[in-house]
Amino acid sequence: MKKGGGRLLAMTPPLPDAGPGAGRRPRPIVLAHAVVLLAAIPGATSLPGAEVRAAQEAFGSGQDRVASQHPLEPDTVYTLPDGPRIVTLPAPGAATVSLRLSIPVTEAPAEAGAGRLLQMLAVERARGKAEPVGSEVTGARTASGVAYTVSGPVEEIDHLAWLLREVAAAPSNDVWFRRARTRLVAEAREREETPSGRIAAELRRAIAPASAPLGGTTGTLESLTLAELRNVWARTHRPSEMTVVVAGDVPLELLLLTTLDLGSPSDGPTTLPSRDAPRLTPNQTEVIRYWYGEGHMLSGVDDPRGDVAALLVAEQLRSLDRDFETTVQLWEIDSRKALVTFGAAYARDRQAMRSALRSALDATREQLTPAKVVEAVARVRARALFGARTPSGRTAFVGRHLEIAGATAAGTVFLEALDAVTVESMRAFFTELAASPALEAEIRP
Amino acid sequence: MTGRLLAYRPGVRDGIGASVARRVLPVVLLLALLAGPGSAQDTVPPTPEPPPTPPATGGWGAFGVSPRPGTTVVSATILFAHGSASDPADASGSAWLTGEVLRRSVEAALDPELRASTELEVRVDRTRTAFRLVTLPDRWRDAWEALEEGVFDRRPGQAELEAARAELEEVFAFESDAPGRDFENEFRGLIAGARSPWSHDPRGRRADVANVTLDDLERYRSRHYDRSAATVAVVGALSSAEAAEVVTGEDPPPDGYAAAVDFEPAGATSGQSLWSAPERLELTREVTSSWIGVAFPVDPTISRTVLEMLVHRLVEELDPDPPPPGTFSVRVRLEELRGRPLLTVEAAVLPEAAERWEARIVESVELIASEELDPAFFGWHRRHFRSARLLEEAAPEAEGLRRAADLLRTGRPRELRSEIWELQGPQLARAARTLGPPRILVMGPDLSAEVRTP
Repeated sequence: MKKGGGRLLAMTPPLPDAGPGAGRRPRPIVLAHAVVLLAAIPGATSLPGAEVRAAQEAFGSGQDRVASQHPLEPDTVYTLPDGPRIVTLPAPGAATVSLRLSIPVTEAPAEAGAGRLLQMLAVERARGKAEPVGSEVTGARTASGVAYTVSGPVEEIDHLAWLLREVAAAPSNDVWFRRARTRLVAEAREREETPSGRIAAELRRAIAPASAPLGGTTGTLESLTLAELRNVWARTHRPSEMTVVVAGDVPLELLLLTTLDLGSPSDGPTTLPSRDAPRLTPNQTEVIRYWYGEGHMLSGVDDPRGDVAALLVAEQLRSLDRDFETTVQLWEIDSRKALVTFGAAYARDRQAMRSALRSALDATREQLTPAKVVEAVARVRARALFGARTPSGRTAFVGRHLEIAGATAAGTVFLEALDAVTVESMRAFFTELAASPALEAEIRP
Repeated sequence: MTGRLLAYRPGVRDGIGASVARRVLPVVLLLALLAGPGSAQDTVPPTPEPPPTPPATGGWGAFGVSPRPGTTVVSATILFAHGSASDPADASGSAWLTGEVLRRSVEAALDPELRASTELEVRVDRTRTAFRLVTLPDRWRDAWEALEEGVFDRRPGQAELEAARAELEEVFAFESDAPGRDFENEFRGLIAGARSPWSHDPRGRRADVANVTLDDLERYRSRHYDRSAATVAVVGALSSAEAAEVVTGEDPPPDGYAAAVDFEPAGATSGQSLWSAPERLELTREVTSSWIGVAFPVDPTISRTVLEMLVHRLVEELDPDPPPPGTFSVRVRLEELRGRPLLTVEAAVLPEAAERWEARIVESVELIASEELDPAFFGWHRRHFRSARLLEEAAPEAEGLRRAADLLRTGRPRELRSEIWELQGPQLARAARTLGPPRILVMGPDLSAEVRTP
């Protein structure tokens, strides 16, 4: 499959440049173009004559159209001028359609939690409009940004497109903002005041000291204003940075409608603010047990061996006869992944717990067998494919791997690499991980 | 050639005029000659066309397949028209345990890689048992063969029975004296009679479960797990031919489904109502919540899709977002009793709200029955129902279970999308009007009791 996007030209005449500080594009002209497209759609699956020929010529020069039968391999990729990238997945005859909009969000330290707040407000706004029709709206703050998925019957594509514009719209309601901020502050406080939240925060600081927690801190959230949040939105929600992954049987013309008026205008702030993040009050939360954790950065961006390793390490720790608790997780931090293990034990078992975690990678490597690796690979593969069995699951799978690895076919590359995992490649993986210094964190009573 | 002799007798003037009669008569006579008595004896009767050969179902009662190229899995459902209502009187829990033990037996027989790539679920209710398999396309054949062998042929082991029994015993212990369970038993007893096996907890009585043996389960299986009366539905990332090759060993059915010639669908299409008179029972318990159950017999001629929209409409009325004050839970379901559909509404509420809620349930049905909705307003309800219903079937296994149930009930799967589009307001109102008299159970504390102080 060819990589990269195609360019759609001459579908609509370029809109007049509104100029800096003029705000959004003039509404009447945008509506006129939408009316032209909408008028062409009912009862037709293609635009009238001249526009179709222009589009075909444009597509012929640079589109990526792949005759793919794999449900997780993109069928077509379109990139609109100053607009989002649209990735379509084959779904002939499907009764429902899902559209996943992902937007990269980078926060300054003082803005930590802004992306999560934008996501919460967007979902709340859109769900109020989705519920009367029965459409579904979900949202998530990912390691790289925010992602929203809208789903419903294919016949509701225009309504779903409207929901997409809603989630990408600027926050504006001060009452909703304050209410959402209060909820996030409570979440942050819970993280900061629980032992498991503390150890996770300590590990994150050890692994990625410059990276702010995705959910923010009580300090950054309490000092965030609606005006600052709107600045984050204006800086990040640019159509040219967005990607829409579509799984459904929807004609091209209707898909293009989904991208009208998405997000922020092209002008607006482009740099991160320089305000320092509020100083965090040292966490004085008392713990009863000893907590210890380790993180190991993975070298590959989207290496499936990390997922397989997490399963194998978890099994190895579960097999121990022990009186302490352990957790194994695979984190995405910025553009990388980290294998994280942490545990908790009472005083009499603290040494055993720390020893088990410190030796987990070596012990897992030593106990590897072909059968264990085959089963772990099968479980990772099944988890991925089962999760992708619905339209929303497919868009999530393709969208997440695209965000992680930057290529539209990254999902299928991941699956192919997974099929190539062997006991030898897993041994090499564990050796490489164990050779790099572990990033540690500890909390004592 | 045949002609038709016009009703005209020579010499009779019928008001048209003698000149017209003179023009018509020769034509009539010519036609009569051509269609004379001799022609019948000379015509060779056409050879009747042989009846079309019904597509083979490979021994199953009915088989259906729905290819879904946009998914990543294959789902297969085997559905039997028997559940806990078919338990022997002295071995309640047989249906439940048979299903659960066979599920464990199938899983144990899978190789580790296949087990990791497969999900197997069994659902046993009062009148149905469903085995639902979801697996990856490249292991579909192996998974299906393991399922078929485990469900029909292989005798499960004692270990699987003990594991299933132990898990059930934990649940019984947890639910011991739970008022919700008490309510369920009483409500079902009101509907079908306390002695009817239909009324019992589908999982069986605790004492019976403790004594069930593998032989009991084998007896249940041999009596009720009959391929020729069961339906299979396959949905997923495969072609009709691939599905048929594995399940039936025959050519794929041209319309996507086939029923055996002697297959008898389990759903009733006519007959008397389940009951003809309303009934109300009020039970007092020392509890802090109240439970209300209302059951309506349903006209079996009403289309299933209409009934599903009726359920959806009732949920909209009874369980909106945010929920009405004093409500803990509301459930509206279509069930089955003696082959006939039954609509049940169950609500758990604050005791002070019980009386209001009982009226609310009955009034909601009356409201829908009397609604003459503007087509645009009905269209909005239908739109909401369509979204909910189609999104429910976004997962292939959900569509598979529904298709298997359709096949079992009527011998053919519904095309849900088109049936929903065709729904009209008067159909919904009629369905509500034809609901039979309700049987109502209200269980809760006695709010009128005086508070005694020591």
